[in-house]
Amino acid sequence: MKRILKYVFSTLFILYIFFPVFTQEEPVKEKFRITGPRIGFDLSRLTLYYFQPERTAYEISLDYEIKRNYYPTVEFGLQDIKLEEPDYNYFSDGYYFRLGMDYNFQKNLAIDQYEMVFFGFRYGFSKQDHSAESIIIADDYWGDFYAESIPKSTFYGHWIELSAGIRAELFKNLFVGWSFRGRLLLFKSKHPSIEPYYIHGFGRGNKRVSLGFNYSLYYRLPLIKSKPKTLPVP
Amino acid sequence: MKRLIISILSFALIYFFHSCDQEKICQDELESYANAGFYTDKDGTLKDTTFEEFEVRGLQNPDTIPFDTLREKQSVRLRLSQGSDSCAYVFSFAVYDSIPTLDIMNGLIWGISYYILDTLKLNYTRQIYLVSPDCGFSHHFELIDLSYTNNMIQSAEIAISEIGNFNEENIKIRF
Repeated sequence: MKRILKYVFSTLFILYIFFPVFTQEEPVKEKFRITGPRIGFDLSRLTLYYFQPERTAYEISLDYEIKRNYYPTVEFGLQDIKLEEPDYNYFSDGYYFRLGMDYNFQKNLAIDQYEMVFFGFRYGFSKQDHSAESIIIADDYWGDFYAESIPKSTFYGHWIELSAGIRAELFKNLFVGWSFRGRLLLFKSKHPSIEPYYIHGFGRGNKRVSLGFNYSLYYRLPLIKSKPKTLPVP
Repeated sequence: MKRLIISILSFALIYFFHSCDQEKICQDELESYANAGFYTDKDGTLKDTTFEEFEVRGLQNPDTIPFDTLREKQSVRLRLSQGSDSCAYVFSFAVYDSIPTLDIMNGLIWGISYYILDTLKLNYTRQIYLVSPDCGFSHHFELIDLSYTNNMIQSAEIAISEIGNFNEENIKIRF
């Protein structure tokens, strides 16, 4: 009995000493950076129905991380305006696009973290057709003015803009973000008869400076998985 | 619940005040005026000048454009027509009797003997634009040239051709 107990305790002692050798350590998960084109849809345009029902607009964006924190971006939008009032009718429809780059200045993120606090710049261009008819301008001193119909004509606008905002990953590859925009009109085509009410993608046609806001949902196509040479210190 | 009620009330107030101001905003946008200031040219120096009895009305329109006495300089706002590329205005300057009459209640009174009339014509370009969905259309105006008669008016010139800023003087008239 004594011998059995001696063997049992010895075995237990040996196991106790050498047990850590036999336990499995959880392997360190290797971190990768996933990149791919990210497609966005501007949700803020959907609220136009409540604030400016005469305008209908859609905007999508595409960006891609070519280098850590650098995201060249292209945005494309369609817009139309339809106003039918007792003293005038006005119609405008067209498209616009913006080209630029966003820079994420949030540092010290892990390689697999994609949140952004960014600044960006854009060059914008728009092309639209507009026309007006049945225009009556009331003038109680000189007498009302009945303007001739203005036939459809094409109008162009060019501008630059600066943006600032954030983008956060909600779920894997699904992002949400907002940005504020400040825009400066560089050039707009002159029309002898009528100035546009809106320069699509920019803002009011009679303004040189415009402010804007975007709130978008993005999905990134996870095409490329890259392993960095060294992991940054968290 | 309290926050919800406050939020709804805030939106209602914003909408209410927006609606109230719309009429005034439209009126300001749809009525365009050329601001004309009055000057005398004494000893080569341009000085503001005033007239005691003075009237301006659009030619062929019996209504008198209000004479603005609230501004520091004597001046008048000339309303431009949305329907034509030119407007003419008649300036009526009162000339008083040299000999006053005695009024028992009010003392000596100088009556108006007659009026001296001058006509000022403005030519301008117009470009139509949509002010807003609620206000409708109006014009941007830019003065091209002017002409005038010389009974009281010595000369007149365009100072700022673009019509828009309430505080800017578009025309200087010398007497």
